[in-house]
Amino acid sequence: MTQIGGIGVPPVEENIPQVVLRNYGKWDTHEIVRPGVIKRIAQSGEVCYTVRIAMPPSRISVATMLELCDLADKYSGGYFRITLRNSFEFVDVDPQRIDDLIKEVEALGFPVGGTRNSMHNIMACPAWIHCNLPATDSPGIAKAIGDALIEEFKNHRLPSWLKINIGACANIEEALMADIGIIGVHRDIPVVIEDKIKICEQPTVIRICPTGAIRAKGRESVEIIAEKCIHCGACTMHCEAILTGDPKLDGFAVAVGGKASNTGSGPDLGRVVIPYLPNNPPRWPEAVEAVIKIVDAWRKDAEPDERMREWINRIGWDRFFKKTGIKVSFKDIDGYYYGNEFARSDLRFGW
Amino acid sequence: MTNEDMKAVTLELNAIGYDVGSAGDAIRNIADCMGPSLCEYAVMDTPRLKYFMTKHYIDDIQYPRFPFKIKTKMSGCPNDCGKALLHGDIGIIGVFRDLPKVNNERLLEWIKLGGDIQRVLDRCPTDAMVWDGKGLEIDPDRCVRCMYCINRIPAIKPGDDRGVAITAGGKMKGKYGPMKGKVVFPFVKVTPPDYNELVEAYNRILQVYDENGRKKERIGDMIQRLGFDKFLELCGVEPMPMHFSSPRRNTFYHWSEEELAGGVR
Repeated sequence: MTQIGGIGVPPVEENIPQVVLRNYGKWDTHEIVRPGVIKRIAQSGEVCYTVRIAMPPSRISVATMLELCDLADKYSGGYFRITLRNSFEFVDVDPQRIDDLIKEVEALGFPVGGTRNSMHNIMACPAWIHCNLPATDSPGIAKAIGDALIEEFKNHRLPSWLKINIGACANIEEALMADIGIIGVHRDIPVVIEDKIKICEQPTVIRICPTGAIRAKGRESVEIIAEKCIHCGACTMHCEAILTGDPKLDGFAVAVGGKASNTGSGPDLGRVVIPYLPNNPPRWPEAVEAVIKIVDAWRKDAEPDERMREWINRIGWDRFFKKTGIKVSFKDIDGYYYGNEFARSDLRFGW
Repeated sequence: MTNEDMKAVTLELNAIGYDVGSAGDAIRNIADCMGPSLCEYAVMDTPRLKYFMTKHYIDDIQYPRFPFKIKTKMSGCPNDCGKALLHGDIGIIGVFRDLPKVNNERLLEWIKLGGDIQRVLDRCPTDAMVWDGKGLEIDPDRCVRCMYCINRIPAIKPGDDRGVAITAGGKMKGKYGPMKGKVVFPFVKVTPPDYNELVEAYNRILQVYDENGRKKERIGDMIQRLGFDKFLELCGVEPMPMHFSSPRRNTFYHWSEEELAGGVR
């Protein structure tokens, strides 16, 4: 193993304001002054105000970034941080000038909020901007859902956190880790480009297929057995000569109930409840409708402090489908490797 | 970008203290939560550990030499904002072993200011909190250190016996579909500045992956293929109840020659 060396990243001390450095590890508590504004109180009594705004999902131009940096220079001594959900947070803002800052960022078009019991910033992968695998346009969906739920971002009106993640293909980890996730779904059979297939390591391509749907064709090519394909995208990821994606067939699935925190029922991945909805740019009405349907059912029924997953655990999946009005199909029943684990082996039905 | 531009960008980034890398089948950029820099819950210093790890593993970050990518995520506490358990091939999560510390005076003050203790008592997942109107006690046989009460009541703080749990195998893509991470090292001491125990544990997972992983196989898929018991054995950990949520329900084991000769341990 290597010794400590290289350049790595700059030390922690270089990128944080003095008040944070003085109270590093000595924070005591925090208050949410108003949605988006957090007052962090140290044991010494010092305070640090942070203002959180939503960022465009997965893409930001240099010009926009510079505008935000100018605001950071003006209001927070040039200090900001990008949170783990890609929000932009001005760190150490003068409390007298918070209203001015909020006015200025809102004039630029960035909403302030995303703290505590609100909808947090929507995360989305870059999709078609620089990826060859996506089945849907996740930044577009993020924008449509964000517009529909903007009041939930700016206010603390929900029972608990609401996190929405969007991934444009089955590879995006984030989508199953949020209360509501949207996952791009391919439905076409990948196409093998015969002229280019030589550039790929064919044994690897054959082996990485989870269902053995790829087999050798002659000595120099591979073919895909359509009945076995589960559209996971593994082959298209590892070989440039296999392409997937058909605008007429692609769409997205909706998953609910992912959660990372160890509180309540503990961390778990989400479950797919709507197997397929069609792509419908530019305003994605199906996606917005599905998300609002789920959020409304949760908001009406959940107890205070109850995340989506804990609500579902309390009422059961059968009542979840009843309350949200989502129709169950065979696609909701897991037939993959762990399928049997999710089958029902008790008679405690919620008719 | 042309080649010349890339070279220039790299040199300029190096000049301001950033290395380039973390692409391909290497250790990817180590993601961390804000940790103690702004958060009162942090039981582990994530930003400084990230600084250390990035420097320590810079060769593995820059040069792809593993079967597939290794994503490392860090969270400072079991709230797991970094989602280390769910999507880290190797997750490092700050944990504490003793009970949360309760400051009863401050708790009473918090209740006087309108804190709703009953809701916290009701929503404690294991009913571990005993409240008699004057003081709060936490039942050591019930508490699972989930952080719920700590998140809700400023008078309760994480305990002092602190370390990290190291998990392996969280992922979304790959042969067997989405998987949660699995706890490999339930408690490892964090000892700055050289983090010996943590680096040793991390290296063991890297080594097992390097030796046993097939090409384009994530750690989670490798664990599925080898079996989690086998993986733990290769990592050289002592089996504990913290390694499973329930014991197995079949009796299909492998027995080694020594075990057959010496009987069941």
